[in-house]
Amino acid sequence: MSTSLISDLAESSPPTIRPLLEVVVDALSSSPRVRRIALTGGRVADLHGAGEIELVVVVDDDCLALFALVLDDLMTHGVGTLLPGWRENADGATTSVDSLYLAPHAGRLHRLRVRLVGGGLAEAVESREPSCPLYVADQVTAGVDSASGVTAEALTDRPPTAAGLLCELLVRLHTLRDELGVSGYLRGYGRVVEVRETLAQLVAAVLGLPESRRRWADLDGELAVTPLGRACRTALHDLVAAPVPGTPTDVAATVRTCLDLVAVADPALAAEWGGTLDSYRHYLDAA
Amino acid sequence: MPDEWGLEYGEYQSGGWLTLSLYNESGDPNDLTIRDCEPQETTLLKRMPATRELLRSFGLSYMWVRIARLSSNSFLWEHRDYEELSDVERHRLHIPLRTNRSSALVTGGAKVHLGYGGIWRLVPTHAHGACNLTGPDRVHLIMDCYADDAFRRFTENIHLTQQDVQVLPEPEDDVLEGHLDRAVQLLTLGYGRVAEQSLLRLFYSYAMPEGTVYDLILEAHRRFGDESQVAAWQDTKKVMLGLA
Repeated sequence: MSTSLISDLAESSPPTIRPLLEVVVDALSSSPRVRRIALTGGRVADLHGAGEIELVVVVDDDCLALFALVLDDLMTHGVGTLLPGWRENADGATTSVDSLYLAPHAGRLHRLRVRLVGGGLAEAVESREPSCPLYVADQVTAGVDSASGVTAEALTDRPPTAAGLLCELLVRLHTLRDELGVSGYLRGYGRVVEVRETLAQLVAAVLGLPESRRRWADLDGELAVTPLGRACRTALHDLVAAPVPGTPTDVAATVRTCLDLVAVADPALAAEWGGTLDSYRHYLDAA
Repeated sequence: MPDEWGLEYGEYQSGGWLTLSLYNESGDPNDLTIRDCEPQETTLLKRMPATRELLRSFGLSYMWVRIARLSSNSFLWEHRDYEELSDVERHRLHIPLRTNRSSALVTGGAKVHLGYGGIWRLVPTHAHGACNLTGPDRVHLIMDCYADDAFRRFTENIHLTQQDVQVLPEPEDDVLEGHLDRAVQLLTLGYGRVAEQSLLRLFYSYAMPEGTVYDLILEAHRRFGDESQVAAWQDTKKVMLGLA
């Protein structure tokens, strides 16, 4: 027996993201080990607007690691997100996991941040910011052996693989597109810098550069060694020299430039993700 | 685009595959269960003059014609069609109206993206499935036709090229074990539907003997200790693959 509060949210607001929130709550709340789901952050006060949707999902402490392990499956299969989560950070103390997803809904993509939190820390996390409950389990269901040998390693940072960096790149490009016309020039510049940084790290990763040689100052020399590296260096140079995108058309061009570079640097990755990247281009009008 | 889409064949899909009839027995566009008949144009097709003209121009002997929408993250699971129908030769033709490269048809261990600008022929009595992984919506015109001289003339130049087909890899045993482990973990947390769908979706990633995804679901439920689900999925496998 549980109480869904998402209908209460709908009574006070007719937001465009309400159906998406329903899908997410339906997908996640079917586990008896989920205690509470809440909307947090800026969208609590602005359900009609754009920007990131932040959810806190409170689970039983003893199965936090297991939830962290299966979260991508839940979001991919249950919600239909485009990508595995970009694990933006983990606090190192294995008490929460932040993952950022791109979820299609009503013909566009939404950034969806899911913060998994163990029950013991839920109050502390939610009290830091505005919070609106979407789902609260009425009863505690005990006796499910959910640990299954999963350790806290599932909560720690993932190594920066090419696929993980591609997820990060797509999220950052979406953020850039989402914030067009909303924020100031310098903020837009900051977003572009993040995109360039991620793309450079992706190129460095797929070309196998050592971790210690992936700074901008090292890339000229490192990329000059091979024909592929030189091609990537030229493309990175063109991207860095381009002005900050100011229109959707500009962003679409930036998306194409970035994804073209990914295809040059790692054709196998681009082919493996071909369908997803095609969908992404459609949603961002960059096809 | 009409908005009275209907959900039919729910047991064969994840949800998200919706259709409308353009030719059928009754003329009602929401009459969606295909069957042998001498079809007539539906009231919907009469409001679509260009499509009506196109369909008439083919000169085919239709059994049923539908327009089908497959939403993002939607699937027609591995199955066979026409099993309930009489033993008459018939075929299925697809014309993509709107598509994306994450959508595909899988049969015989091969994945085919049905792209724009062509007519695609399918033999639905072979086990097959369809997916639209990440959207946007895929919309196809689907024509079930009786095989006659007109059909043979119409389709004699329809051929697959090498570029159309992606031969799927065969999975290593440890890969399948990994997917099984993950499914059991999902079952443990109470996410039965996601666990099952995670295994059903392997049909679109790997070349496996027919019915393997159903066997994997059986095994996952067996390892989890839910014999009632094992029995239920044994029945489902028979229905989906026409083994009943």
